[in-house]
Amino acid sequence: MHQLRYPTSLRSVFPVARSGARLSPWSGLEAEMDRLFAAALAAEGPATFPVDVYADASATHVRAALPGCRREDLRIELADGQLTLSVMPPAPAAGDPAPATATPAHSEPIARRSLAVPEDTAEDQVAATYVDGVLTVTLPRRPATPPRRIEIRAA
Amino acid sequence: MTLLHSLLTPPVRPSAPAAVRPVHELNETADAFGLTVQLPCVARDGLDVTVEEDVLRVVGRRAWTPPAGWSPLHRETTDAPFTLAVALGQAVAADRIAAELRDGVLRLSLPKVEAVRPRRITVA
Repeated sequence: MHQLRYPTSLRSVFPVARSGARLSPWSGLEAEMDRLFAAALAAEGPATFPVDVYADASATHVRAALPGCRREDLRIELADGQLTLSVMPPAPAAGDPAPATATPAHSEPIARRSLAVPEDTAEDQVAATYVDGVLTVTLPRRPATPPRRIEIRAA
Repeated sequence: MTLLHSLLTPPVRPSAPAAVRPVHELNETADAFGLTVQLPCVARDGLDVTVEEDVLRVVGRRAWTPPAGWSPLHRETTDAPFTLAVALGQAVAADRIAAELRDGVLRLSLPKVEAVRPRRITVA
């Protein structure tokens, strides 16, 4: 009776299905090792969150799954063609006594995500809503400006 | 043969899973268990919390569908509903479970039955 070994090189070529009958007998161990490697190699810094991007005729819409956030802790910044969504640590309420270690004014976000936005975004008309734990940022497009024709003056 | 076949046939990556398990956290106090389930995009209408045969089941369907004219450019979430099943055993008083959904986070309070609560016996 031959013991069928599961070659590791094949694994990367044929990723194991998440569900269904073709699950490898080692998938549990592999998943755990992948998780350990991912945890060990993960870059230090704020967490991330899933983002969906949609487009319609007049705007681009970014939807970020951020359940359980307070609106005042969500920060949306648009600079140099990059949209940055951040979740800041909750600021102490006004009535609270000052904590022993004062929170610096520029504290690190808990989670952050940056996306490139289309070049023709009307940056002054960006709007955002937060419903059911989903932050939706609407980035309207600037209407295309007709090319300006420059007359050549007679010298 | 089946295993060899499974190794040589690239599995079909499921493009749309039937359901996804939500991120959740279970904690415990002396009187109750607390279950926090992250259900972004789920509203009260699409949420079902049931207890049947000591199994707590949470099903959350996403409340949002893209309006007409919106086309997806990039997707990292799925439209599949969230499902979570938790075996409660005999420790939870199912008739006193309380649930609250706010901003896509479901908080369940699962009070313990009297029999499993810690009891201090006063020494006379």
